[in-house]
Amino acid sequence: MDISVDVTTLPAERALLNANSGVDDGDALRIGGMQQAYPNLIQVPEKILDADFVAYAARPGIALPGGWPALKPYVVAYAVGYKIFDANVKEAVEITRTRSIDELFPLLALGRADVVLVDRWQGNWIARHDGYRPTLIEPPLAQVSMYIYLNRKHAALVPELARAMAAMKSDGTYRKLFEQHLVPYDLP
Amino acid sequence: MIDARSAGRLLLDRAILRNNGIARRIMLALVLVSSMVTAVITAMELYRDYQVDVHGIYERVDSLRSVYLPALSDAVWIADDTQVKLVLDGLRNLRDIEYLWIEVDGVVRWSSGARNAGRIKEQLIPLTHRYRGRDLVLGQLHVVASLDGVIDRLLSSLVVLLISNAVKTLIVTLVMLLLFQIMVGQHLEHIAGYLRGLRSDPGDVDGLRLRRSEHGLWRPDALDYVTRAVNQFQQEVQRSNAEIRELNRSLEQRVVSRTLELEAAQRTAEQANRAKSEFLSGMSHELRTPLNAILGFSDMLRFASEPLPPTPHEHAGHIQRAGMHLLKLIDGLLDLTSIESGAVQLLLEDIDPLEAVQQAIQGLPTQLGGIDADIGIESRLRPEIRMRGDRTRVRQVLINLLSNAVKYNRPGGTVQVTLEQVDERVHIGVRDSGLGMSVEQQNGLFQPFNRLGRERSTTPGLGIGLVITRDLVERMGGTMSVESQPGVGSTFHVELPVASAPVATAHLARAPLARAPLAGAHLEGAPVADSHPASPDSIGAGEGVATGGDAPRVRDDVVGRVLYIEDDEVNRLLMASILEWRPRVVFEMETDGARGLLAVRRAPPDLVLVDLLMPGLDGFQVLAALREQPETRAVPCIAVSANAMPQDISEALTAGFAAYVVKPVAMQLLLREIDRVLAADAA
Repeated sequence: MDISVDVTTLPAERALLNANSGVDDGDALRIGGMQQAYPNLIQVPEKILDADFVAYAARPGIALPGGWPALKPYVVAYAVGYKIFDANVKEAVEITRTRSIDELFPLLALGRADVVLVDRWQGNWIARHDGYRPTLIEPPLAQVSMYIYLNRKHAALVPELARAMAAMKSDGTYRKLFEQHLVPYDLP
Repeated sequence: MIDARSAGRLLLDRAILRNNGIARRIMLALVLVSSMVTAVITAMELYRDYQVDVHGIYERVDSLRSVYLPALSDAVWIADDTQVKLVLDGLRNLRDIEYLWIEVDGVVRWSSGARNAGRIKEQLIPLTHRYRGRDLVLGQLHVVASLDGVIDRLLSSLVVLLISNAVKTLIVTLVMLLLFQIMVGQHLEHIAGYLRGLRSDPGDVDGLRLRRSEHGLWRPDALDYVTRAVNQFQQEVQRSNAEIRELNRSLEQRVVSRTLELEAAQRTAEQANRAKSEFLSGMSHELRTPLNAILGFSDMLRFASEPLPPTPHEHAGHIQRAGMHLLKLIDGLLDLTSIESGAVQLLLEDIDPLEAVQQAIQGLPTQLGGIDADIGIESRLRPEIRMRGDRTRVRQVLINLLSNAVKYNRPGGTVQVTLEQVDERVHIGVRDSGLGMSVEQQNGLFQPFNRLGRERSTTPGLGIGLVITRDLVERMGGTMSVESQPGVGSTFHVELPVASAPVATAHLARAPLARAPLAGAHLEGAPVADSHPASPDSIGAGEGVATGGDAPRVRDDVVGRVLYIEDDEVNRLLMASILEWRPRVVFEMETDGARGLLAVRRAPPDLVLVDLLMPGLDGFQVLAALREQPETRAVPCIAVSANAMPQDISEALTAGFAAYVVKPVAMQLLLREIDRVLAADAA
């Protein structure tokens, strides 16, 4: 495929809204089935990667052995637009929704949140980029396959894009990009 | 100045509102006007408040736009439900903002508040975000503001405004009323009270003076003008009242004098009426007396056994004299009626007064009521003096006065006649030495039918002689009066105008005694009416009236045919008897006009004697019928009638009768007229 792509970063919900309304052409790194709430989106069936939704703490010592319910005794923060957190974080001492994921680690550093929730790769990238050293609590709270969605006006591109991604995965290009761009950001 | 207490007294004690219609009207007008003004001002204020409030809503929405909109747009951009909701709730807490919602792609994503059914103002604000170099419309913010709050606030302020304005109006009204009462009302009441006092007694009231200072700002004012007018009016009223009082006084005087005149007139009328009744009674007596003689002696002749008593001529003489007396009475009455109705015509000429007196004395009957009196004459007139009068009437006047003077004298008394000139008048005084008269008697002397209490006396008379006498004198331009003293005698004064040019004496040409219409020859020497004729044959017996003189002479030289039309049989017989004195005259008679006409047409006579008043055709109609036919037109007619009034005679002569003979017929006169007409006929 010879398609140049302009990538921009938006608040999570805004990215969906813009893609759905056609302001933008599509949205990437979304869980599956988003077309049910955003009918103008068409899911590209080939997943990009499997995302880990994890919790970071300011320091080691916090464990979440039971998954989502284990968050109950903590002050939790996550960015607006993360539907998975909206759906699963039911009980906590306090829940803070930030405008963006950039605000999560400062909250954590200031001690205004016990744990912040974000997906692994963005969390790792921001922490490293902004100079924070949070503790990533393993195991992840959830692991979900992530997909690309295109606005309905680009429906014709969907199978083509899927085939291209499948080809990239089979010829090792995909793996090579993964190791080249994401692995370095993995936290120790 | 006026203190609060007196102000209250003015407002309440004087009961301005109750008694003062003007104050009521002023108050009503003030309340109405100020209420209207209040309503208008309140409406304007409320409208301004409404505009301010509505403007406030817009301002708040604008501030919302500038203050809240970036945050809201940002929250919508990141789809931060919580934040959007927070902002919307915050906006809804602003005043009058009732409901907000954000619509994205036709779907309401966020809302706050609830819409209700009241009045609203709605605004639409687009939410945008700068993205990729252009403004991206994220959705529409709908803001709904309610006007209910605005209206509630306006209603509250309306109540406050109305109450405050009402209080203001009330205060202003009361103050105005008080000012009105102080400045106008009390003065008007004072003026009214003054005018009431003026009505009861305007005479002694001083001028109106208002209870306020004489000088002041903006003076004189309307009250001063009213005061001035009232004072002028009061002066007018005083003047008018004085005039009215004066008029009333004079009116009362006039009423009194008129009342007195009326009473006098009434007394006179009553007296005249009494006198008339008494006269009728007296006349009955006077008429019955000669009738007694006539009827008595007639009966003696009628019932006398054949042959006739030795004195038939003596009886007939009594009958004739009694008839004559009756005739005089009736002539006197006619005379009085004629004079009083103005029918008497006078021929004024210059008369020698002394000669007139002497002739009157000669004309007096020889014996008057059995009294004999000497009559003396004393003349102080210059011989050439003449007086102006009707010779016959002067003689009548003098005979009446002289006969009265003799008749009412004492036995052996005297009568003195004096003649003198007083200014331009000849004065004739007739003084007797009789019983005289009281003042009351003198007052009633010249009233008709008044006989000075002698109505029941044996002195005969009718009470009209002096009345006729005075009327005659006055008609000749003279005056007549009387002075008398009971027991001493009476003097009657007659004054007649002096003739302007004295004439030579001795012209005693006998003037006609009566003028046409009294042209009937028989009226010559009409008897002088006398109040108290002494005896039937004594006074003024004119020639030819009575048959008591010489017997008629039988004439054979008079010839002709005479037709007498008369309904009364006795009169026809009398006429037949009279015409026996003309043995060569053929005498025929008819009993009514129609038969008479037939007779005339059958054989026209030389003379027709006709009664005027008959059943069927009367004398006038007979004459007219005769004059219509050529063959009878020339037949002369003599009227024979009992109608003796001058106008009757005049009417008949005008109609064409050759002569007029009054019944009772004077035999010699009648014969003479017949002779004359037949002679003229023959000629």
